[in-house]
Amino acid sequence: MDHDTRNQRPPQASSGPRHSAEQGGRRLVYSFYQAGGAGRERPAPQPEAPASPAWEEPPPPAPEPSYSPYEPYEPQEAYGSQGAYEPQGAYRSQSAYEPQGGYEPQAAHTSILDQYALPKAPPRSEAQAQRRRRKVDKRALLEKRASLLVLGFLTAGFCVLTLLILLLPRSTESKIEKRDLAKLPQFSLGSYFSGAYTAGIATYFTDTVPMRDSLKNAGNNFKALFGLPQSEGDVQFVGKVNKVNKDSQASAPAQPSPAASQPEGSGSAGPSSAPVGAPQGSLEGAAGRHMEEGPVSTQPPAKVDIAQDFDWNNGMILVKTDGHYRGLELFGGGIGDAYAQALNDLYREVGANVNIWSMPAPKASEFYTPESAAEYNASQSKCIDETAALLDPGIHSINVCPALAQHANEPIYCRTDHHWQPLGAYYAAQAFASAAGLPFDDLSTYQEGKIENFVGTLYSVGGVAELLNDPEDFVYYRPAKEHAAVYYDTTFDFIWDDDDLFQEGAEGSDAYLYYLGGDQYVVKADTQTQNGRKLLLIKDSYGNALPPFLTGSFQQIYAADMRYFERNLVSFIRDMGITDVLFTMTTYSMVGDNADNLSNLLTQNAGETVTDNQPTGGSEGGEE
Amino acid sequence: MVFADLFFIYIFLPLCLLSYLLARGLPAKNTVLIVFSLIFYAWGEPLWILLLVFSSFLNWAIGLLIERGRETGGAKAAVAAGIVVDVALLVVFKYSGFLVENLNLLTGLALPVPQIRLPIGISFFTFQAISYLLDCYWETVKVQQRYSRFLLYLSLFPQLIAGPIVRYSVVEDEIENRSVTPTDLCEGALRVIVGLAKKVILANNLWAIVDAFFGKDITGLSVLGTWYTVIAYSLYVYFDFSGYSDIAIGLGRMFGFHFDENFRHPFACKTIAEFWQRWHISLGSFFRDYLLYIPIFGKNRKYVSLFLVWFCTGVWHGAAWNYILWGLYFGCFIFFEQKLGKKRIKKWPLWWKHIYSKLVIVIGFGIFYFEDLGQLGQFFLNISGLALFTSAAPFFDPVTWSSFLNNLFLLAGSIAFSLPLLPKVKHYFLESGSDGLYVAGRAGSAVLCLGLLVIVSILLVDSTNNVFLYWRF
Repeated sequence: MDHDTRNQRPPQASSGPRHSAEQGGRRLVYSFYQAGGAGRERPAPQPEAPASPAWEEPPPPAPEPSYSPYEPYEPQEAYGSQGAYEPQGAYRSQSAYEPQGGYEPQAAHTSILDQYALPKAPPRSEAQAQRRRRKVDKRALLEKRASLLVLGFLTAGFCVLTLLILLLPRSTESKIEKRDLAKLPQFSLGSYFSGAYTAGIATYFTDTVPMRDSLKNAGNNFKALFGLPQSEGDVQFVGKVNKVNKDSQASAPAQPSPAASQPEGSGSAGPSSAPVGAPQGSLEGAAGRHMEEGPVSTQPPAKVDIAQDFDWNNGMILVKTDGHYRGLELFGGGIGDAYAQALNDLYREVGANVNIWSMPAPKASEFYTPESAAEYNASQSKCIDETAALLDPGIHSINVCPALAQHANEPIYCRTDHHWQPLGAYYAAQAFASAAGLPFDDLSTYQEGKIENFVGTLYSVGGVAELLNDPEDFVYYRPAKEHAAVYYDTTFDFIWDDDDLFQEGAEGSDAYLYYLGGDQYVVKADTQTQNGRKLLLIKDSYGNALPPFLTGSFQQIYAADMRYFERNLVSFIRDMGITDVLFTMTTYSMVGDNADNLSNLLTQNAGETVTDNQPTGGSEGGEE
Repeated sequence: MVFADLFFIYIFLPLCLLSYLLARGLPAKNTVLIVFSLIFYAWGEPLWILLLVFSSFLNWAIGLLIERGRETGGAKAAVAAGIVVDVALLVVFKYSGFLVENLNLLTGLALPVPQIRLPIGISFFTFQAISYLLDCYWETVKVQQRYSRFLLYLSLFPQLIAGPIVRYSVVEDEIENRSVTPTDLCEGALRVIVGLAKKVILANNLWAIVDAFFGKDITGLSVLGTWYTVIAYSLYVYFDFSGYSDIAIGLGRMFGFHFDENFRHPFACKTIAEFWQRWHISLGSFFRDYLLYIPIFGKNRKYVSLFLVWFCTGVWHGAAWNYILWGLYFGCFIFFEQKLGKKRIKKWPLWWKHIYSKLVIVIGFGIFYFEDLGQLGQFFLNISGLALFTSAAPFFDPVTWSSFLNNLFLLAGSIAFSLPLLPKVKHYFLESGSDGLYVAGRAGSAVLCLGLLVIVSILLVDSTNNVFLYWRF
């Protein structure tokens, strides 16, 4: 049945008594039941109807009342002492609004009060009518009281929330997002008129909300309720995922996903970034689509020109094995031409005197991607081999994928972070040492330790609560033999020296910083291995975990990040007496924008002389 | 400033409400509203607030001219001039780039394409101004003598940037005389929270689905994946837009204004004509009342008016060909339904009416999404299944399945809330004879809404999400 004809029109004034009960000075008026509907006079929309309007019959003659399915209709209060009486029964929903044109109104909602207010027959007795009026008034009183209580409750609740948000100490940094939070913007006319100032204030306020990380985690846990829990073997896709072209990786790098070349990879990544990724365009590019612009993000990336090593190449998947969740960044494919070019250039310059090694590090998706997602993940091993084919034959290429694959059952990769576990770096270092014919300290000679409750970057970027609730242990290995380490800044100026390559204090989501304290330092290690070999490791953050495992192979190890190192590579090699240069970065960095940094290393500050202002042990005539 | 923002909810709104309630007397209250509305608009448009002020001044002045010119016949000229200027402003700011681009394409010229940034809300307040002028001319409303009152009408922040197109006639009396009862505050606040919940809990997360699939080239997207995403997109647009309308109506209520409904569960419709009586009602009724009436093509060319109205509806939504296509697409279906006639449509079985209308609507939203016509074409290939042959797209893909499982409850909830379930529940509790049920209903709604507010606030923390992996120590 499409509609209930009984309630199709609001009852006219004649069909119901006009109640006006006077009790304690109140007068209640069913003004709704006066002509038309709206207590407010609303003239007809047009003076004369056109011959036949386009999509409906002539507009309703009655003025359209204002009402909503959500709230009781509130007539204009005629004798207002205590506020308008709300006849709940006056909620007529669709029936009062009668647009023609094939629209069938739903059955209007009748109210218990109607039965009292609109008796179908005259009241049997005055007493009965009196009783009905009293019931209606009682309900009216209840409504009023309830409104006050509800209002009081909401106000109290809202005040509590407001006070909490305003008075609790503001957050200053986010461990999850790994950044300092926004500061209040400085006022300037320019920033005001560009909108950046006001947007900055709003951003500041939301950014520095008290207990930001906890609230974010709570939000992510809430969003996990949106779907079914993941079962064993199921794959959950996060972010934009493309099929990879399996035939030729050289021809098809991942379709340019905008995030790949942006400093922060979460722009279009996962559910956590929905509002930011959501309608940023002009408000009325589609007034129906983009209601308003989001707050203009005034937080500049920490260093705009430095690409992050989190290359959101082809989205991410979440797999569940043995009750544990593992996040895997999918590999979109590609080939490292910029990488090969830079290495070949370097070989031309220094290849005669120096061993150049290329050992790209695969990410976890090479080993743990299940069949069901295989179409979306390209082979990193193939990519390494194809890039190696572009290198000068004098450059030594190592593909560590087979070596790591042998140990895939061991915890060689982090589950919640995009890095490998130190054990994975160990096997890679082992492969390198054996290819180079150098001595190598076995794992048994290292002292194991661990950092617990590690939830890493894959949670930060993916926002999936499954990883948050499944932390892992970060297991590190300290060499038994002593070694000394000196830390320099990106320009190779001395900052401090230390007794090892590890930085205490790394914990929680920063566990990987235990190695070298981060990416940006240039680190020199002097070991007890007296074989005159000096290694320069040009790396991204994957390379951080290698130096401790090579302390048994080289006399001196330098580690510099390809993105931040500011000295000229050729000069550095010559002036520091480097014998071996090892390039270890992820395949993603190798095929992506990060590789463009390599050519900079060769051209920046060309011809300079590099000096070590804290010469130590291995160098000639060095003093501690 | 945006509604779904912690700054708005916890700083701007409390200050505004407090000032409003403390202000004594209507002129003071109106001033409070004007001040806060201008701050609200200037927050996002520090420069183009001048446009808003200028437009309000201009239209108010023309209103006065209309009144004065009524006897002399200058009224017609005044209203015509006013409408021309209003439309011209809109065209310049919104459509100039589009027009020049197409002119270039058509004529082969290489005129520089203006890249004017669209001031927020210009489509809304321009249409409000036009409605005011026409209402003045037709004497539907009394011309507003005081500029401050007219500025209040135009700039009222609840409906300024995305709200329903509130006509002057709706608020004419309330500008001069309104009261705020505890029930107004109560119901208004609940409405605002419901609107925020629609936007932040449902719409934002539906957008994540849409962005993951449509945010890149859809050539390889499976057939079911395309359907899945376009359905999510339709739900997204509904919750986003109706959420904002809810917030606008709720906020208006808290200040004593009663705006008309803008959405009435559009997905519960049975025909396209009905859909457009439930969707963006303020726009549809604007065109019906103000555009259709102008007998541009004469009374006999009624179908030309129909397509004109739908062309305008499409164009209003955006300056791109897909929006025009979208408008005309619906125009065709309205035309088709008109031709069939109400009687014949009434005979259709209910299930068929529902399926037909939902199909048309969902495919319509696909047209609405793709501004890139190439991608739009690919969209049609995908949903029709032709893409199985033309671009070797699969019928189904694991990414879609994974997304579906991962968002199952979100989608189910969205579909459920897009239907008029809530009113039925409210009716059961709030209109029952038993006082116990009534009280339970009110208490329950209060507690639920406070809970929703907490969840919304938590989710809004993420809106400035910006992950940097620059390692620092």
